[in-house]
Amino acid sequence: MSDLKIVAQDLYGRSPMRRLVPLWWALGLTALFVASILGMNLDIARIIEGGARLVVMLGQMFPPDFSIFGRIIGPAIETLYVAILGTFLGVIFSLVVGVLAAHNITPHVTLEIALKVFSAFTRAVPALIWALLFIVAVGLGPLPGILALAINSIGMLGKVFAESIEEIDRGQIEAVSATGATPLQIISKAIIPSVTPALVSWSLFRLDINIRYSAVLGVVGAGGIGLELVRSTRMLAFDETLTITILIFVMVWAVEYINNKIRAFIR
Amino acid sequence: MSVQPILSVTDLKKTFPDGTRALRGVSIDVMPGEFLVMIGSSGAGKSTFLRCINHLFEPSGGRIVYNGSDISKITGAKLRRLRRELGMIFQGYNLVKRLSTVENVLLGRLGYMSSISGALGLYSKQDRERAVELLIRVGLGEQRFKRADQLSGGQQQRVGIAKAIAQNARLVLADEPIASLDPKASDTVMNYLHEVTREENITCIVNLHQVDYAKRFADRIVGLKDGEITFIGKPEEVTDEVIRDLYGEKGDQIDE
Repeated sequence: MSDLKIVAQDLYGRSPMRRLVPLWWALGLTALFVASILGMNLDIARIIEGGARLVVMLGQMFPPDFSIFGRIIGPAIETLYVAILGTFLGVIFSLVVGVLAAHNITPHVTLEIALKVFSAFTRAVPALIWALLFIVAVGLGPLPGILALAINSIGMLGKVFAESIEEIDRGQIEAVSATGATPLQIISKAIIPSVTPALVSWSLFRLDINIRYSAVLGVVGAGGIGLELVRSTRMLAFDETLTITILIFVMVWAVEYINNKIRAFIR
Repeated sequence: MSVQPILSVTDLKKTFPDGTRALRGVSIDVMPGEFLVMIGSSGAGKSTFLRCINHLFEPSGGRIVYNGSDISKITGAKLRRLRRELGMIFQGYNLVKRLSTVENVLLGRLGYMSSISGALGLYSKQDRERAVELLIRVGLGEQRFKRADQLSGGQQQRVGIAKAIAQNARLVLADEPIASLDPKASDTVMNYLHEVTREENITCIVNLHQVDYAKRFADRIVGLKDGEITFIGKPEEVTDEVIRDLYGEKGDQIDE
């Protein structure tokens, strides 16, 4: 037997520098954190002062003013409608985008690349900015909100739909095309059934996201409950702010709850 | 009067983009109603041969004549019309897993329907009745509303057979139909495939790994080795020597 000499390197890895990799990360992230604070001239005094104001504000929030319920329920429902319509339009267009952009069934690679770039762009631009753009284009109200959510959804759903289609077992598509089916029939009978769970699950997830966005879109004037939220803070009616916040919370939570139920059902 | 072959393949060649020469000039005539079994080791080109016939792979050279017409280079609507007459059965079953058993059989009717009505699944009552009948015939009548992925492998393969018949296929291409099945399920599937295609007078080309099954069911056996036919003959002509030539020294031990 050769005398095997075990040195530190054999036990701990290649070099001391590499052994300390977690430390380098910790130092690097700390430096980034500190640089960000210094860069913003954050004033500690102001934070403390703000804390005191926050306590006052919280105090004014209670009890929440539920008498405004009748006034805010309309905008709240509008927020839901905006989210649902935005998601609907988004899903429908994303299906087209997904089918045409999926590498295994795309009619042409150029189209695939064009659509993938298009969806990368629509998801890179935040919904809020889309809303601002559409407000300029079509005016204030729920319509720009719907359009903003729809196009922002295409960015995400188009991508994940295409990826789900790319993951389908090739054999199923082959078998259906071997019966003499047309491309449309192959899409509807081999591809759609196979991706249904992913499709439903991602669409519901997107509805979830869109409800949250939709609540915020009102802030920039794209309809819904966001506007009420801003108005109440401007009027320093924090008891109303709390009511609206609770309502938004209940809406988001309810949609998430229903989504989870549906997702568990569809496999 | 001589009978015309239903399929006549002359000097069929297939070279893959990576340079693999899977078929190096295969010629064979298949007679109507014949149950032809192709044997040969993995990579001999059996699967490629079947896939060239229905253009799941594009042949690189040679001539394929089906029922008197040249199908070597057809595309588009003509190819779809050809494919509906060619049933294909796959090693991996390839059913659409999330559709019901009966709808998988009905998929065989797509080639006969308009694009839209097929896409919407508007199968005629007649087609539906036939699909259920066929499922009963392969012993799966009770399972017709089960989802395809809830069936066992052998059952899924029987659905594949029913689908091919639903297509009114005149030629069935079966690519290793029992390679993933246990012996009992293999027996059942081969029996159904043989029996149903005999009853309907459907020509069958079956790729098999297992020489014993080939001998049991085939009217004629074709031995394929390195993309070339090295043997054609009756089952009783398949001697140990032929097998040794096809599979190497290991003889009957043919799994790899």
